[in-house]
Amino acid sequence: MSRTRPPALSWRYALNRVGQALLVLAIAFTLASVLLAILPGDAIMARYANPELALSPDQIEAIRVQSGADRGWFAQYLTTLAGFLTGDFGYSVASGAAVSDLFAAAVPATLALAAVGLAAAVLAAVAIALLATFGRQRWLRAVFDAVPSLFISVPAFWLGIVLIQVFSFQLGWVSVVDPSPAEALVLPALTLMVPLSAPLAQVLIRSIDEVRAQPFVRVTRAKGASDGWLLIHAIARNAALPALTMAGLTFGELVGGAVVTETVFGRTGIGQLTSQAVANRDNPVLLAVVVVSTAAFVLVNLAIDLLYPVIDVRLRTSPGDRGAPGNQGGHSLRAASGQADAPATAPADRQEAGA
Amino acid sequence: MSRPHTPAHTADPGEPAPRRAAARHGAPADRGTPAGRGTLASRGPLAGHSTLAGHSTPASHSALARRSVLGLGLGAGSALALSACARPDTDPAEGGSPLTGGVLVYFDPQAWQTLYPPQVGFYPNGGIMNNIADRLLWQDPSTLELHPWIAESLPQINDDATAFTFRLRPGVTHSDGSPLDAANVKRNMDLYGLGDDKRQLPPSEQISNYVSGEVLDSRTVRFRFSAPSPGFAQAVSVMNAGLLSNATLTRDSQGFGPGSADRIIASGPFVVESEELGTRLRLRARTDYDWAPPHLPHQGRPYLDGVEIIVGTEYSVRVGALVSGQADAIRQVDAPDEARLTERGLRIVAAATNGVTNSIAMRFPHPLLSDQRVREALIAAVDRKRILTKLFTDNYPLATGILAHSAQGYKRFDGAWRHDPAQAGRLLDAAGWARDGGATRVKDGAALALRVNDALPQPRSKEVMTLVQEDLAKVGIALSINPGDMATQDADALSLERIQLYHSMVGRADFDVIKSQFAGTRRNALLNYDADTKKYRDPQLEKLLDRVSSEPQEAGRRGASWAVQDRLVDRALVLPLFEEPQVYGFRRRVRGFACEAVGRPAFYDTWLADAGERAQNGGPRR
Amino acid sequence: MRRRHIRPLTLAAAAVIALVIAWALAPGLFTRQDPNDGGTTAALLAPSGAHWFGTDEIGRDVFARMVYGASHSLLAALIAVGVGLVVGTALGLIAGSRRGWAEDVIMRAVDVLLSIPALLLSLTIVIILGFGTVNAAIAVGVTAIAQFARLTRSQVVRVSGAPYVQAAYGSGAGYGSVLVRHIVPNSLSPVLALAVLQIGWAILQISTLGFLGYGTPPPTPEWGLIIAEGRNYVATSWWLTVFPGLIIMIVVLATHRLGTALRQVSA
Repeated sequence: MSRTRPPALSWRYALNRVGQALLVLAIAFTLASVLLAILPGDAIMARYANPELALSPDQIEAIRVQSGADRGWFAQYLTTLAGFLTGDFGYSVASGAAVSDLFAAAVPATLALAAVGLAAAVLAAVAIALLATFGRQRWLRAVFDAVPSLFISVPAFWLGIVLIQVFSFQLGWVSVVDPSPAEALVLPALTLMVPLSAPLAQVLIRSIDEVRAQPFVRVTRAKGASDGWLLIHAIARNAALPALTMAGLTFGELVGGAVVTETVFGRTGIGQLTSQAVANRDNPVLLAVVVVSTAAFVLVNLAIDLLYPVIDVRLRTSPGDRGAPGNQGGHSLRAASGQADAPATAPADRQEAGA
Repeated sequence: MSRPHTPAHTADPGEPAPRRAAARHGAPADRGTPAGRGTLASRGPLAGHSTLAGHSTPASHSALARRSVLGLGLGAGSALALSACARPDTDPAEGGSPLTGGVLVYFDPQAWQTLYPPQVGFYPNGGIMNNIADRLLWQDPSTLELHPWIAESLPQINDDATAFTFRLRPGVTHSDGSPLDAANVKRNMDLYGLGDDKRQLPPSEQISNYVSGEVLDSRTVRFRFSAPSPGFAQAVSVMNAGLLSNATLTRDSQGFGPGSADRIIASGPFVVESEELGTRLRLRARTDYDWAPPHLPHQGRPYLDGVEIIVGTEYSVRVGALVSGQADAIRQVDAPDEARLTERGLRIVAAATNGVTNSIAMRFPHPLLSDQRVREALIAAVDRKRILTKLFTDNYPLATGILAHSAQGYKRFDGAWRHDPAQAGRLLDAAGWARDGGATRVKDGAALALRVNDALPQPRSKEVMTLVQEDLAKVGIALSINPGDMATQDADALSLERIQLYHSMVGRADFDVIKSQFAGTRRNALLNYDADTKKYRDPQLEKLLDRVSSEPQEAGRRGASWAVQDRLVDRALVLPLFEEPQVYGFRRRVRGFACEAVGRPAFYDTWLADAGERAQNGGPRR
Repeated sequence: MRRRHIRPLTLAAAAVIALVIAWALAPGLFTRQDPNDGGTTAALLAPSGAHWFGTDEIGRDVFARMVYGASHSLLAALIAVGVGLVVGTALGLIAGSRRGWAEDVIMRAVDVLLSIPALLLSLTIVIILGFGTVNAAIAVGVTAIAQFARLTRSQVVRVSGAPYVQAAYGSGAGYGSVLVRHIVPNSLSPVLALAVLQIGWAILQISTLGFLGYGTPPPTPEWGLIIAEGRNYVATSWWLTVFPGLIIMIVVLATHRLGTALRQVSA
């Protein structure tokens, strides 16, 4: 764990983090531009070489020149960069629609799905964690202790297909053709919830375990503090950081989750936009997806990093206790965490921190 | 598509179809006695708008004729016969006269990309354009004959087919109120014939040699061509020449793209009411529509109130929606599912696509395929019947020619593609390809290894090629299937190094279809045209293809098409597999579904058997 | 430790993994059916004694395809994790032991990798590298680099500060020898535990690519592809999707169990 001192809640720290966030964003943009530039086949080809249209190679070449797709990579990169800086995302090559229009239609749908999915994941995680630790029967605890691993092991696309077949087509509970807004969200949100809730639940379970094992719990309990209040307070404090970190990282999975979920359920959204853009080699759209989702990820994690000192009271009272709040501590905490395994490693990390 | 569906064919000639030759000489439509009308009498029990006739062998056709009483006239050819055999239709709501009202819920596998008519060949685009835009002429999908539509008669055509004069029917308006007059038609054709590079709008593939349009009076317009263009009459009947309003014609490539569907204004029976980007689109009936092709028995407004087109990229969702009753119709039913869907009381309709059969083009410019004996060996090695029985149903008839038997210019080639692996072995031996103990034959150190594309739009291309792979392996030819998504496949298909065997098909109900597939300036399926050297590897083939579109008379065009086919068969350049249909699935409440000549849906005649009840129940939400 | 009761589960997990490895090594012992050629068998047969998981849309035995597919799926998962492990660990080692600008550069690069949506990155890489099992595995592996780099770095930082490492430096040992003798061995066990955990994750990611059409090209019986092909018929022939899905789930669950157990041992 890092030995650097936390720059005591300073502007310098905040500015530093903001600067890093911007840097990451700039690199991501450039990297994405480079990757997309070397993609074999471009959108002009994808759209106009379609045998359906039967354009001759010479005609396609003319269109390419006309649309500026024949210019060098760097010239296109600069144009695009200037556009992004001024809020102009350009036009989809596949459909000709303005990328900003495509996003305006897609973002609210994906946000709704993500918000509901995330909220459901948090609720499910809390429920699972409580049942796994405070369940009355031993078998009940064992079962719910295993649920996060199970949830992580379900292929999301498979789950979506099975859910829609069972609930929509077999039982007829949810219409896919003519759903109310809530109906339209239920199954996709459920599909998204399952993989998202697992890491959170695992973090919570570990936190509860740890808190219950700590001596101060027994001491305070002996002093007569109410059991429930104490636990909630202690657990909330103990679990807040890892859970928050986890939530921030989970955010990165939302786009991937949305691609699968929206494809299966045929929902409008960023994910569906992404998969079509990939299929059509629609670089302007892809670039915008990368930049917007990267920006969202960076912002959310920046916010979490900046919130660290505020939330973790212990950090302010005894900074040496757990290493630096932002940069370094954040890294090590997150280093361990990641897509599927995140929860399992976070506590390990904590153990070393506490050691 | 088996044309002989007349008995079940309500949309069938209200007038005996004027022969195209006559039309060419400017004879006005012969509005003779409606021989075909007789079929209307049978309409009660039949309710058949089987414009859609499926693929059926002559044998199953006669079955159909008998069955069509049961068959509700979706005209699914043998599929229908099959389903009727499997489970007699006992739906009491059968037949009756068409009911007005209701919204049809229709699932399409893909989202539409553009509504610029010359580019609407892609099925999701065409499914919309075919219903919102009218055309000058109407092509009967079962006979492929042309009939008046917005033009009140067939065009006057000069002797060398370089000038076409159309007389328009009066009183037609676009849905924005603007008139569909001669000036408007000229603007449409100017754009489709010439394109507009500045707006990235290419010209229509079907219109060649276009020079200009000329407004003779408000209802008469003449088009001139620099060379004989006999295909123009047919070209103005397809949705690629859908007539749009003047305001719409000023849009650019982006303005025809997703997000602007409700601003594409035309004169058709439906208008685009609203669109949810990438997921759904609503069509609303135009209640003042009164200019259906005079040939159709149905006139006036469409029966449906609207069509809800939903994009369901997941096949299982489309089928699930249909099986559970949430959808009324879906496009693209996989062959293995046909039997299971009919078992559940759903209907399968296979629409013919009337073009070049689903086939493998052997790219002879490649060194491995330049020897005719190798190409002949490939043909002899492949067991087409096994592929069909294993992967497909009766809706996919074995190809008997380069073109589908219902296509313009069809010529039958018996025994040209006989399965004979022993002969394949002998041919390869003779050509010097030896089996030196290995599985793959070699010659001068080179292996006989070829690569075929995975034709994603074609049904079960991957599985077809897997079976071809097995067959070829048996005679010592290694075949690999090019992996990759659509964009990769399209890009690779242009390269001789990447793709030597090209699996594809083209649907178009005109003699030109063969040119669309093989001409160097079109799909260039054989890579006969070398884009680098700008030379033809077989100039003779290209010359023959040119004749197909420049012979002014029908007989001449047929002869030219046959000459092309003879050359393709003599030189063993193409292995046709089967005639590819477009397969739809329907709930029983859907009646009168029809397709245009290449299998895109036309909802004008479609109606719902329970439209009344639905109206009482408030219909679908929203 | 309140987790003692999971021991039998860990054993069961080990058994599952052993079985799947056996499938991969000697598929012929577990099924007599040909995974790629259905011969004359009817398509879409329901599960029966002859075909445990039924037959697929061209008459191939689904169970046989799962058994034969084990080698492809496991190999792909191993390659993916291998890429993440090797590259990520190397980066993490350099960043953790070198500090300074090298660390800054590496960790910013890792931040970038972490912030680009993993699936999008994988898809892009597949398209660039070309379609195929190995390329899909590499594409998935690249997205795993960030986690390995971060974990390794934090471990190295932790170990570097330990008294015995300082003592080793104090006794005059060079950077290289300290790295090899002390830092690497003491940092690695949590990283290896992560690697085991990641195998399950990689199987899922590769099958997701297969589902979207960017994974292993047919007819290779890769697990994701089997589900992807079978899902079309889920409304009419559920077994094509449900059984392979369950198998993937059980295997991923088992690797996860094992990984967790390993981590507990290593912690």
